[in-house]
Amino acid sequence: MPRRVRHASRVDLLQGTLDLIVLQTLQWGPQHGYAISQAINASSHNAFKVETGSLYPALHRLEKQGYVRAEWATTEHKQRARIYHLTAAGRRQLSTEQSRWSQLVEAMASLMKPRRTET
Amino acid sequence: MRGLLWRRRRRTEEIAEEIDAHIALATRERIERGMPPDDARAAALREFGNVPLIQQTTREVWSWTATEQLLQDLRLGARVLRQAPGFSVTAIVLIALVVGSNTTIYSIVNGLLVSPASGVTAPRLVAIKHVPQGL
Repeated sequence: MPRRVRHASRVDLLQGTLDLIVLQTLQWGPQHGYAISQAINASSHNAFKVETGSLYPALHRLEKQGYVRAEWATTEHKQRARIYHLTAAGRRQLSTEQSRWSQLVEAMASLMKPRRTET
Repeated sequence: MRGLLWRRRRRTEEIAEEIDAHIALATRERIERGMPPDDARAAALREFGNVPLIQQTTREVWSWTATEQLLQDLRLGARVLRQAPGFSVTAIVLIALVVGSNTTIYSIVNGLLVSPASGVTAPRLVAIKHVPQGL
C-alpha cells in the first residue's frame, strides 16, 4: 500500500521512526518480538520505551510491505516464537530511511542553531 | 472466498500465539531474575498492556484491503438474497423483464423511426415537390 506509506512518513513521524528502529535492530540478526523490544530499550539506554501496542502492528506492517519475513522457531528455552528476518528489500529500505533520517536531523539542527547576525 | 476466510482465521491464531509467546518469554526472564512465577506472569502481562486490543490493532494491519472489502460486500449481498428468496426471485425476474422489454422497445423504435427503411439507397431516392402555377 504505497499510499499509506507516504502518508505515514509525512504525518505520523513516530510511526515511521519506529519502523526505522525495528529495521535497524533486525540488521544485527533475526529476532522475535520480545527480543526486539528488549534490544530497543537497551540500546537506547531506556530512552525509548517501545509500546507493544505499536511494536506488533509495526512488525506486521513491515512484513506486509515485504521488508521483513517471519517464521516460527523454537528458542533455547523450548518456547515457540515468531522470528523476524530482514529481507533484501528491508535492507534497501533501511538505508533509504537512514539517509532520510540524517537529512531530517541535519535540517532540524540547522533550524535550531542561532542565526548568525549579518550586521 | 473460503481461502481468504481460512487465511484470516490462521492469521488471528498466529497473532494470538505470537503475543502469548511474548508474555511467556517476559515471564521466564523475570523468573530467572528471581521473581516468584505468579508475580512474574502478572508483571509481564501488566507490562504488555491490553492484549485483545493489541491483537486487534495488529490484525487490522492485514485486513480491509480493497479486494477484501469488495468480497465482504459481495458476501453480504449473497447472504441477504438467500435470506429472502421470494423477494430475491421477484426482484431478479422484474429486472430481467424490464431490461428485456426496454431492449425490445428500443430496437423497434430504432428499426421503425431512426434507421432508414430497408431498400432505400441514394440512387433510388426521388424528391417530389409541388410548384404552384401562375406565380
